[in-house]
Amino acid sequence: MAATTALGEFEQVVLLAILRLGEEAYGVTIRREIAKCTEREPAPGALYTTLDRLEEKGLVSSACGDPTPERGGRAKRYFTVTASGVRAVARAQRAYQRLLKGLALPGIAHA
Amino acid sequence: MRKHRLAEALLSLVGPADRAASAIGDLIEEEGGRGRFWFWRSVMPLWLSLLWRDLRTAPLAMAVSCVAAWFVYMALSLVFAFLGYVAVTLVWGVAYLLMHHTGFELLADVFLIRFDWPPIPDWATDAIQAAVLFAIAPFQIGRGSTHFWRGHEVSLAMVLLIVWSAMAAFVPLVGIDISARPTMVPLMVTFVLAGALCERFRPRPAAS
Repeated sequence: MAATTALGEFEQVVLLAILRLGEEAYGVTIRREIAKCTEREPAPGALYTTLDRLEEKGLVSSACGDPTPERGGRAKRYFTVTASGVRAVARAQRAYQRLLKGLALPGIAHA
Repeated sequence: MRKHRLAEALLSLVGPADRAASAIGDLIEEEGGRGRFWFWRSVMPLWLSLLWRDLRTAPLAMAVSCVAAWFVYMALSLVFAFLGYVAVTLVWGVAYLLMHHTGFELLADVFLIRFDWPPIPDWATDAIQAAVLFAIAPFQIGRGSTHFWRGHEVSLAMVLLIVWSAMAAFVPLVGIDISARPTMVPLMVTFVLAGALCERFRPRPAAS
């Protein structure tokens, strides 16, 4: 049996934000996307350590873009979710859906 | 000029340099609408988060390196202390020769000054040993550490503080009068960190 990667709640949020952003996923846009969707702005420390951890687990990969003047000559670090990252987030979401099944919660369409 | 070099340098001490640069770039991009205070208020918790993460990444490997560094430090201390003692003896000897064979002694006789050449004072040898033990050897260890733990300098200094305190308590320095007592370890670690920072940020000629 293949080893499964357990995902924390914030890890799932970050993975979903990267998936939503596609090729435009880097630190600033990921933070904005999370803030827009969850109405909670993540601390930079929490985001970067989570991104590093996800990369170590092989769930995301990163590549540097070109340096730009508006960033003080620093390059953006773009993130993409790997195939195992997609599988891990899908598995976690399926688990949530199974837990939600049969529950009547306000605002949850598939309850 | 590259903006916020200090913030980037701080982050590069607790993680890879390219990641530090991109994280600072992100914060600069967001700083526009929020201001400098927000920037630094974000950098400091980020630095602490990365430091905590760095400390948890390979604590055992770091501790083993610190034990190895202790023995290198002892060897370096003995070599430097010996060289320092040779240097002081040479300076003292040259001064003695100058005083006794270039007319100074005759001059002293004319003015009826009794001048006995004293042995090398204890404070001079103590000062050499203290400088070697607490500053020079730790500084060199710090310089060398950047080859193995680049991007982990602060974590290494923290682990070093714990490991070296234990080593100083249980492994005395043989042959050196002033022992590296645990109370002196913070000073030694400060010089290790200073050596690491000097080596890390010293200007290098651009690669052709």
